Amino acid sequence: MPALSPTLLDALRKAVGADNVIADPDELLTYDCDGLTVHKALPGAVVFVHSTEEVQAAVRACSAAGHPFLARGAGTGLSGGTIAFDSAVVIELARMNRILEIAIADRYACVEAGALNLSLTKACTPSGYHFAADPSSQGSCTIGGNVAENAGGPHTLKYGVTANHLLGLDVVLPGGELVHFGGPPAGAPGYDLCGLFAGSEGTFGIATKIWVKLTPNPEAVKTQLAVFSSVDAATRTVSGIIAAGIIPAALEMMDQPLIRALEEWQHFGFPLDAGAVLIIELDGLRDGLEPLSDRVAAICREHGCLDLRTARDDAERVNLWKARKQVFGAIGRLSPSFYVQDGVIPRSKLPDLLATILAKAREYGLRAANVAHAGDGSLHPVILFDDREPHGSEKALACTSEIMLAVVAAGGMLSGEHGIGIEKLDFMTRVFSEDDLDAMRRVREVFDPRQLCNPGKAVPARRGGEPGVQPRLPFGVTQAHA
Amino acid sequence: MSSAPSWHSALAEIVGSESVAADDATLEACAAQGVKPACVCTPGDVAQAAAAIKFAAERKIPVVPRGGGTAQGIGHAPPPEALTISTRRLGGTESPAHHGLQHEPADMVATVPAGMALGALQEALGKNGQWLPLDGDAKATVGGLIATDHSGPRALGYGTLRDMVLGMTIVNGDGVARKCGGKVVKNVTGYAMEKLYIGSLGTLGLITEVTVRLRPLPIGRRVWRIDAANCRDCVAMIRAVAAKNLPLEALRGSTTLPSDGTAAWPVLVSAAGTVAELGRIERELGAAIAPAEAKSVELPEGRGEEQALGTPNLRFWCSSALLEPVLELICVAQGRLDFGMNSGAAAFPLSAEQAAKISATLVKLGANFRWENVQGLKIAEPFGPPRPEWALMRQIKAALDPQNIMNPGRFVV
Repeated sequence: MPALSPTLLDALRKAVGADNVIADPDELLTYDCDGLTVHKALPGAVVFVHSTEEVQAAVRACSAAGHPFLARGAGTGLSGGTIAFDSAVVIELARMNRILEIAIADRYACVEAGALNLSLTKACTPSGYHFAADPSSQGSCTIGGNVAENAGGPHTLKYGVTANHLLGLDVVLPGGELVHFGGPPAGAPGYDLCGLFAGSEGTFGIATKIWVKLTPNPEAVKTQLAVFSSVDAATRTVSGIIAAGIIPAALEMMDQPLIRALEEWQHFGFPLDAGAVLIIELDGLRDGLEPLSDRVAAICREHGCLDLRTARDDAERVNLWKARKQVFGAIGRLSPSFYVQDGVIPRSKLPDLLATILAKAREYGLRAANVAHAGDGSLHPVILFDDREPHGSEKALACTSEIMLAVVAAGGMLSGEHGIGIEKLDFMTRVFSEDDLDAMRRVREVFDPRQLCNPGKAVPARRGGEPGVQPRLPFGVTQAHA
Repeated sequence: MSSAPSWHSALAEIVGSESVAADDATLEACAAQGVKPACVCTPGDVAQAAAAIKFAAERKIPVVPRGGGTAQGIGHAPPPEALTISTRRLGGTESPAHHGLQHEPADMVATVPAGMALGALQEALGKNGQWLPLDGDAKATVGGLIATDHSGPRALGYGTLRDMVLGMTIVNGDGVARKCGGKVVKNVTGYAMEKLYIGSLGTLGLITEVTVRLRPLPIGRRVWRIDAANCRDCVAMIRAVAAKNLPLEALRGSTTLPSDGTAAWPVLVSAAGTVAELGRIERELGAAIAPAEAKSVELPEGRGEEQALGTPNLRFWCSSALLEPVLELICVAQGRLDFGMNSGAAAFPLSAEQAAKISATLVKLGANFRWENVQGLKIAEPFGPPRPEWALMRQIKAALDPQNIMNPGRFVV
């Protein structure tokens, strides 16, 4: 694919104003990757849009030139979904960040795609509501990005992922037309294109306006830290809680390396000798919380829980969640480089799979750490390695590949939250047949027949390639240097 | 005696003669909206279903999927001279009990053959203390409930099928069996094709198996009735209760319960939980609606609005601000109602003229709606006027059903 043509650059400047286009390679460096930092590609240009009309104008300019483009929110994605190959034009939505409507009577909000996840929740707090999807990046990620990746978070165990809270979308199709999918109100006749769009990783078009459900804040919350001697005891407790028919608001696990890293980084007060901890959050009516909590405590004790601490007040609770959500920031203390994986398995397979992860890492002479939305079977194994050592990256890559195969063998899927992006394209044939994938490609071609909108992401190209889509980088390694 | 279609024996050779029937009694039993199929096929597995659909695609024979036959009044009439493919041997009434059901209680997930009836499913899940939190006709099949995106009063507490379906196997209109989604509760691995099939009225393929997330059976449940004197009071009661944000299963107004003569607009409130939680909810209800009273009542398990209304003719969805005008519009036409804050269903004896007037008003108000079980009225647009996004939907249908054989003309595509 040729570099961005001067004609297209002119057209983009006309579309959104020259001040809102950057094409200088030095300035473009900021946009050469997302949260999957090892793969980099310099965009042809970055276009800052302020309205749906500007998105349409920019898309039309790219479409007329037959040049690839993609939408980008905050760039916190972890699977390379916003990497701009082939000098693609990045349409940056961060400035479309307004909250347009909060309709408490009907329990929904309408936001622009670049609105931050946490801003919406903050805006609804005085009314006693929140937006339920709460990924670790919620302070910086956009709701448009949440829709593209069907983002989750700890509290999706009880409350569901982004798709479960999505009511309607305004979408600029890859040809530039504006369409509306879904509601509100619910019951829009026809196929659920809104549900289909969630998790489509920006390959069907660009959502500019998003209607999401608001969730009432629970009356009472009880957050506990359960300490175990081993990962095995902790994960068996998770299985025990789910099997007892208890659905906590959140049920998170962190193992010893991460607990230590967090403690060394900021003193959160975790026990350093613990093999693993669970963060167990229960919520609901005050009247039901104590008996539920007693049941959970009994299950914890049954599985050898060493200590069960309850957050005494809001500050302690906030601190516990702060620790959990900053865990990736602490990992840098453990290792020069690390690779965060994402996989999801049937939740009862958790103890076996975590044992497999640790065994695989040992086989490769690497260390592994585990943080998991354990109640959902949603795993984030972290492989620690040193890329300065000979074959450091290769070993990490081979190890994580084997972990993904173990996830698949356990009846799991390649991603619970981070998406396929470019990272896991090569693994898609492990879980889907060519026929399964072909149905996805056909649907994609309906939205984007010319393969201009975020090409080469989410679904692997047909064997033998497709016009205009080059083979992509293989399954790669994420590095973060301390 | 009707004559079997010319392709009857060729189909029998492909899927087995025991899987194909064209006798009068079978065709009559599978009629929908007065239209009898030409032939009925009852595949015993996915491979047979795929072979039958491939055969139909090659000859451009229209295919009408059929589950329990409880929702045949939705959408336009089926095409004539069609091949009906029944799922009753895919976990249905002609399958061994619970055949093909894989319930994983520890994962709170089940994979269910599409032909399994909701009643049979709930009974099997209940043995391990779980259920699919959906109200519906016990005879309706899981595949049919998903194809029609059936939703009952408890959607308030548990969400709709979009929140429950994790994955499925479907035979698309090209006769190819495909999987989508997965068996895990969180999944961003490729496109969520399963979302596309929920509510697609059999126009993209025949669903053969689905994986759903389950819930534990409630520890306890109570239903309260609040009697309101009129439409306005009823809506006000619902608003007042909703504003409390209690963890309710259902909150419905209706005009249909046999009343003791004191009220025509009862509100039903259902909640699940422990004795302490239910006691608390009762106190909060009392505070929300005083001086009215919430009386505990017993309702049959799984009662949905169908049973309350008989056969509904209209479903609607609107903002809470529009609820009262929409209800009044329906009352004027002598409709009986069952409704929540943002949606409802109505049953009435009405003329084509009245229906047209109601449609026009609902469009003007910005409500979504669907007419069903109204075959006598010849309603041209049971889903309301065409919308721009339907063009995309037609293309999606063409992509997954290239010969346009799956329920052609029945939906908006």
